[in-house]
Amino acid sequence: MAQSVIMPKSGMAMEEGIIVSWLKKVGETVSPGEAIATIETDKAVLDLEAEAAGTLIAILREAGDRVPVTQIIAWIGKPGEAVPESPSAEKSQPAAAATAPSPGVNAGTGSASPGGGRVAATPAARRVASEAGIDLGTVPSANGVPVAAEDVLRYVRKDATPLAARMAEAAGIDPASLAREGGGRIRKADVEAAAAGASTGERLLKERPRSGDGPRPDSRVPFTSIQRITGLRLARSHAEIPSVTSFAQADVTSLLAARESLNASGGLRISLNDLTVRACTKALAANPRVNAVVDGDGLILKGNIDIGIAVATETGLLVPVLRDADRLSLPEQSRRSRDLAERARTRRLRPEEFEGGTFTVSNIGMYGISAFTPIINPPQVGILGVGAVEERLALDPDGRPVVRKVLNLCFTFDHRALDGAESSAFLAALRDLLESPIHLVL
Amino acid sequence: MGVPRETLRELYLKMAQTRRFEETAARLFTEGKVHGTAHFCIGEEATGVGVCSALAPEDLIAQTHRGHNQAIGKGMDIRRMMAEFLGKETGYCRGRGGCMHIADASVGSLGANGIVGGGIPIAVGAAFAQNYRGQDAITVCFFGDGAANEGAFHEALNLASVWKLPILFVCVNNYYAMSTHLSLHMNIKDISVRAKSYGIPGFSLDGNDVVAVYTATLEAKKRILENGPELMVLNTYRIMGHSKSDPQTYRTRDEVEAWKKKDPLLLFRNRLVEAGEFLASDLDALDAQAARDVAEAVEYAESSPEPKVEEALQDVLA
Amino acid sequence: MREMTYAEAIREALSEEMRRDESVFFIGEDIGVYGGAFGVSKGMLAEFGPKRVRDTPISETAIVGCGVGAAMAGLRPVVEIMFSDFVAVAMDQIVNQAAKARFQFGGQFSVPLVIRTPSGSGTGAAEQHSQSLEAWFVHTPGIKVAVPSTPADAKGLLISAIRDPNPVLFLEQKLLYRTKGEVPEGDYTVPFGQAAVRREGRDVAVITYGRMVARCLEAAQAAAAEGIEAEVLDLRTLAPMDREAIIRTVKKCGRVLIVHEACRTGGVGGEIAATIADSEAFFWLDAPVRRLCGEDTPIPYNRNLEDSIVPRVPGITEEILRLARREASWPRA
Repeated sequence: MAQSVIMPKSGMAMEEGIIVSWLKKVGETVSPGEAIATIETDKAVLDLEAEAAGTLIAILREAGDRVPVTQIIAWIGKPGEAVPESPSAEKSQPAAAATAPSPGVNAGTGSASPGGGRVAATPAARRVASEAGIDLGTVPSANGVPVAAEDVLRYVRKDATPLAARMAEAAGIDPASLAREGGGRIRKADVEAAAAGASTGERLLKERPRSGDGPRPDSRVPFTSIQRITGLRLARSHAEIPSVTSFAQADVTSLLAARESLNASGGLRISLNDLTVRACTKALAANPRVNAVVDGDGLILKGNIDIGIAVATETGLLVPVLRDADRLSLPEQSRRSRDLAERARTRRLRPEEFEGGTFTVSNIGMYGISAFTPIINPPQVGILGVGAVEERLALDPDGRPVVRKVLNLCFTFDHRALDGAESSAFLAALRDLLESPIHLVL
Repeated sequence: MGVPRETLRELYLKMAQTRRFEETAARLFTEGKVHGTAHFCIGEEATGVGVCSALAPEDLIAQTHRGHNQAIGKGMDIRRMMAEFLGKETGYCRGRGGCMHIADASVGSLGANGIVGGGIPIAVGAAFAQNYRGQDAITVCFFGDGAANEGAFHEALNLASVWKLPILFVCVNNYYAMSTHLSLHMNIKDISVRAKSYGIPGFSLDGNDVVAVYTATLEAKKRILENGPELMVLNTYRIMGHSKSDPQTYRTRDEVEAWKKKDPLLLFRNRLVEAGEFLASDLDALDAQAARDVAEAVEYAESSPEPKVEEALQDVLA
Repeated sequence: MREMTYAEAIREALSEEMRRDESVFFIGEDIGVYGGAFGVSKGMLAEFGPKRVRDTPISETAIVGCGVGAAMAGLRPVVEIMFSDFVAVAMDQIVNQAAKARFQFGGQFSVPLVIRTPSGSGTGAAEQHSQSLEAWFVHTPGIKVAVPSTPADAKGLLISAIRDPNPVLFLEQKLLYRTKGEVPEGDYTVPFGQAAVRREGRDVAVITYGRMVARCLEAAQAAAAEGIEAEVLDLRTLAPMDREAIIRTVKKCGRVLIVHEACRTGGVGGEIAATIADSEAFFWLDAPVRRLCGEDTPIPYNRNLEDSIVPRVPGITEEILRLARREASWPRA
């Protein structure tokens, strides 16, 4: 009897998935646990593994198809076995889903994408994007012309090293515009040279079209699927949760000195964010009502401390979860965080790696932002926003002015779950931990 | 009558078969068994039967859309004609052409033509081929009085004349180009005079006299093989409408009735009996045979398979 | 290899076939003593005599009709229509008779007829002697259409046409009659339905036929100087059309320029574009399909006007470059 292969529901919020490619052809044998297809969910690209042994006797949905979860996409059976009929409801439903406009962003397509967010792109661009599992909307195109295959290929190939690409992105520089020193891939030095060559202001001025007096066209930039889903959740959170943000400043002068000497000892690459997360785990342990999730009219105080770490990616915000963060050594915590962030950027996270965080840390300090009011990632009750390290004049115990490095901590909490005293206790604990590195590292 | 008794018998039987074939076809049409149309030559049987019966197997004919008499005259199989009329796979054109495009290469019919005058240049080409090969054969080209006003008629007669091709142009003048009477579509009464302008012989005769038609054709063939093309005009009358959908508002009942008295089958029957060639009962037997042949043809056609839809694209190209 | 003109190659093909096959004959207006309006049949009357090379009255319907009848009766006629514009006079015989005879008679007859006729503008012959009417016949099931672009193809395609059991409209390019090219000796055929890649490229696929092939090659050369490599596909026959070759070149290049002399609207270019849109090639398209065709106008007499309404090398070059550089503009709604 043939076994169906369905589009797996790989996450609570997942409603549909895209078949990126089939790794097995009809007629090939498969064994349990063997990858038969690559599928893309809202948050990740992952392998679909066979659950049954046998021969792939039918593929019902092709690469590129958007398929609702639990719908049958293939059959595994004996060679020559008849393919069972799928219920008709299952057949008609995906057809509608498949023709739904693909969400996407396309810089500068202007009037080329008039109705409802379809990206103006050539058929070849669509094909290449589909084969590469890329959301066409994320592919930048030059000159406001429709996205062509070469745009997608350039995007996929990413002619820059990952570091250079991130730096360029942060600095708002188009990697394609960068000069390459000695040819080859774009490296960190190329981005630095470009950034030094022109201030952001100069670059923005330069990017304005110089010629032509006519009106400059507006352009519509549709959301990526991640942006859409994230947006829905944020909107709900913002509308439903009575949240308060409180601020504190932590003097991290000695923490940074300690970090320097840790890293200088060789082998380690501890970031300030690693230390902040570590401080959180300890502060959470001491304040269990903050490490909790809302459940109807009560709170569930979570046993584990699983910290979600917000990561900005090209297609939107992702929050992979660092499990049992309080049980990890600092070097292990650092390594795992880096791995999660890197895989988030390349969309290789598994769905379960997004699920079940008990608290979230969002750090935008690297952009030089002082403070901000993060939005709670429900059903969690709190989120910590981390701003930039800033230098402040302060008085030492002898009354002499000294320069101290301070870190802005922004703690948004669900006021239903925590009152002012409870939230302040957590934030104060956090601040104290950051100010006394010896407690933190222990 | 100067014609062998066996030939007279053949002429009568073919005319009777044509008449019965068309009456039966008309009935099938009325019964809703026919998808399409047909053009009937009732009243004109003597023309096609008379001419074609005078031809040898290697002689070719180009038919008109009103040519069941020509087809039966040249020896086509009534069963396959009826099958074609009903659009069956066993029809002459495998149900692709219908009666308007019936053809039988095996008896030398180049086919009927749905374009008035369209077959005349083609007949010239067939005669060219006979001449080119040095064959002792001619092509007979049938067309109506209406077609004599087509450019193709004039171009074809001229070319055949210039090249002295072995072709007999047979104008079946039934006095109507569909609904338009001869007097309204040409300013001459005798179409055969048109031959003169192409430098070929032209003559007219009573197209309802099958013996005259037969004899004239035999003689013309001999001359044509020597001297080149001729134009023979056969004056006759279409008793039925142009096609099955013709309300016949353009002519009077009196006119039709008058021509019915000159029914070629009736005239021939009376003459054969009067001349003592055949007893009325002999001819009754031939009528009965014609009825049997046609009945058998209907049975054959109705029991024949439809063409296969999956073969619809066959024979667009060789 | 020896060189000869396009006209000479046609004469050689026809003569060789007449020597080989007694059933081949040749008729038309002024093809005998005069040697044809463009001199294609010069000397053929002397070789084959008036039985097989025969002048006709000015009667295009009778000329083609005679060919149809002779073909149905077993010969292999080659008929010449002095200018392709005159096929309109013989339209019934081509469209209703030649193209239908096999089908409507249930496959009883073949019509191995070749209609040779000079096509195209550029001679100052004006509206009624300059048209490119191939689309009419591509739209007529039952007839094949060849448009040779080189002397070698003219010979090989004509031999194929004469041996083909179907009617063939052989559209000779009158401006190519005097152009020279290498032509193989003796008996060879160029099969119908097999396009030729005249120039390999990767950036833009230029799909064309007939006289425009040479112009497209020249344009591709000019584009190459700018670093753009255009592939030039010569369809050679339009019915049957080598759809696989079209799909292949589109898949290779992604951007497509269709070039023909015939006017744009309802032209063969539309069918080529539809073939692309209606096939696997669509998924390789990296720009809208572009057509450069004759303008939708009768062909004027004045040289400058006449030149201006058919695609020329600079315009083709520019379009290739624009497509490659993504600078082309298309109609917008």
